[in-house]
Amino acid sequence: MSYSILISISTFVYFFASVFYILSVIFNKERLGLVGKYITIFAIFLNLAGFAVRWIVSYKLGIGRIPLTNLYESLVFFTLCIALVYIFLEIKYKNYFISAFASIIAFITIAYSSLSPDINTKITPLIPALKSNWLTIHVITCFLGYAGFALSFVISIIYLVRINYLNLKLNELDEINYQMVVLGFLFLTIGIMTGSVWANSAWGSYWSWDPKETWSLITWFIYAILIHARLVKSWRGRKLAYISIIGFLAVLFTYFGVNYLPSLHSYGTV
Amino acid sequence: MKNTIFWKFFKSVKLSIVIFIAISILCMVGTLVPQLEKERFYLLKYGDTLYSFFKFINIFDIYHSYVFISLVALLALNLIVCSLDKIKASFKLAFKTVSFRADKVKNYPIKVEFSAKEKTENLKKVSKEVFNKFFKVKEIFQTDIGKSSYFFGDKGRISYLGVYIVHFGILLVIIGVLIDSIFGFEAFVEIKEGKGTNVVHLKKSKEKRKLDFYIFCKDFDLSFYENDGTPKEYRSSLALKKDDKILIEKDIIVNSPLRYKGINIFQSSYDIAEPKSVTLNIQNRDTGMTYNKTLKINEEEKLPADLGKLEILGFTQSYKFAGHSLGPTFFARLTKKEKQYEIVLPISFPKFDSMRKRDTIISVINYDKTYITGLQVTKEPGVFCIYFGFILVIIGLFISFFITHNSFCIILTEDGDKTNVLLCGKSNKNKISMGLKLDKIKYEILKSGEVI
Repeated sequence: MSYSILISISTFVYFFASVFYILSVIFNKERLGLVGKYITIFAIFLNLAGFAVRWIVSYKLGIGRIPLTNLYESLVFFTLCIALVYIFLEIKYKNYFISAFASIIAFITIAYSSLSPDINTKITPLIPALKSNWLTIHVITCFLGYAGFALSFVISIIYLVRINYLNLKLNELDEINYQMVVLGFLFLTIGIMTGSVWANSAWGSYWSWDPKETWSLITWFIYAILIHARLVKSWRGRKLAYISIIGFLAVLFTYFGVNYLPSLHSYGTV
Repeated sequence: MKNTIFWKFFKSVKLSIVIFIAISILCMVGTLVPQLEKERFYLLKYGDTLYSFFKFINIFDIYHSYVFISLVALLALNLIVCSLDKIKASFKLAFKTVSFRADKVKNYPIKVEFSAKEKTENLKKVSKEVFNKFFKVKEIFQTDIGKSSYFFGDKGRISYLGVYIVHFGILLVIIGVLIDSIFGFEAFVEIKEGKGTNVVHLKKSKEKRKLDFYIFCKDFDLSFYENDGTPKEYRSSLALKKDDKILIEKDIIVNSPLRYKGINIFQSSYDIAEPKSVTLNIQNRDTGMTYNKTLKINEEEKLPADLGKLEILGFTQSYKFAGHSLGPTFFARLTKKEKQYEIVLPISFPKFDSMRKRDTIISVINYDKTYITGLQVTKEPGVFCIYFGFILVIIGLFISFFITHNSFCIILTEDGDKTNVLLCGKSNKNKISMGLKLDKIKYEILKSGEVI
């Protein structure tokens, strides 16, 4: 089966997962949430299959590379990361509320990848600079980091609107939020560092103030502020939720916005 | 020392946050204002007054401006002072021998209380097992006070040291960058196939620098993907020579540089050198006869069969015609009977000249194509310091984020045939997890009772 069909199906499966999660939250029925969970697991399976098939197809085309090198592929992988992180949180904390919001984000991300007309889904060969083993680890760590921040963003919004259906206490929500920031921060750090090592082995320069690099550094500083404010100044709750939202805007700018600035990371463009 | 204003100012985390924000703002400006462009570009974009002001505050090379460098220096100082300020206390906390105090344990914030229909003696063994299952500690401290038995354990104190490892790692990165900017260089050099040089051009100062060996480019190769013609690989066969002795040879491609005694040579770009001669096919439209002729650039030559005189005027990498790029192209001038015709000869389109509808049709068969390879030459003595810093930062983050200092106690109090059980836990990070764990332990203890 073609990868684009698998991805299209998984788009709808993510949508159904969101529907069940939302119903579960509205009617306070845990069973509906459980359905959402199984649907999500199915969507993850399809998403992963789409990823794998695309990988295999690239070999058949004689190109042979991991599908992590353009906007379409990165959106598909980003969705996978978000879904994995929220399903992990759901299993750990037995809460469907975060999943309801996170699955909407996963759905929007993957829908954007397959429905937007501006996105090129063709498998193109790698330009010489991208031919490196560092590519895999750099992209995977960056997107795991982004997924952590996306979850933190979702939780921050839930925290700020304080919806009544919530069966989690606010301080618990705050703590899960912080854990997501920590996850994102660790992986963003590894992502930036592996990128730097890679740049040094490809171009002979570990940092060239390219807009994507610079914005990832700005993102890193924003979350560093959050972590220091929490650990040293004992900030909690609303203030941190606001910083997390600002941080996620920086993530989005690092991901999409810098394409409007001249950059080495041009493969992120459509 | 610790009471001086200097110390109090630099240990403050408020200062760190202000520096983070300031550096971020400068970075944002740096991505919005194009960096290191030519003066003319800026004058056009910003006009005279704004240009002189921007130049004065060094906004066009913002990452090397005094403000930026001072901020990084300030950050380093802040990092050192705030780490030194607390490191002693943290070391004590991490390595002190843990003492058990019954009254303290009972004040732990996370508690689960229940009673089990089981004698205390029977529950003791279970408690130990459960303890080992959920809190793998080196040693369980066990004591009886009055009617109560205590099982106590404590682990993960090393997590208090993670932050210092991270800060030290970041400091190493800053030091590494400093070492590179003092002792290292970044340079560029273009070498024609078959030629060599020992002079490179420094990127920052635009000065020349002599290396103590020659870089020879034996060959340059360029390959394309078959399906869509995007570049697949740039490859330069290099040899480093000193006093006619070959020091090292290597084919370099992007992502696989040549490293020799601290100097790194990277494939960076390529160019095609101006050709010296070109072989043409000349067809006489009237007779259908064709001739091949090799011409040197800028030397007029007579064509056979009275077709006139031809001079190759020049060469360009890419010629634009009606909005399309025709690729590498020669320009020539044909002089016939006192009349001159300008001729365009795109190499990839041999029929192009026939559109002229004259009595000669000229096309290029081949030309002496010589590549020029563009190499990035760097010396980075600080790079190991930077990479070591990276590793420390990652290890430190792991320790401080994922190792949690947990203290935990099971208290069994005899109450006739029953036993009152109190689980007390304390965690410096993950309080929800601790709560969930205590619930699981309660379940296990109750379950074991039924089995026995």
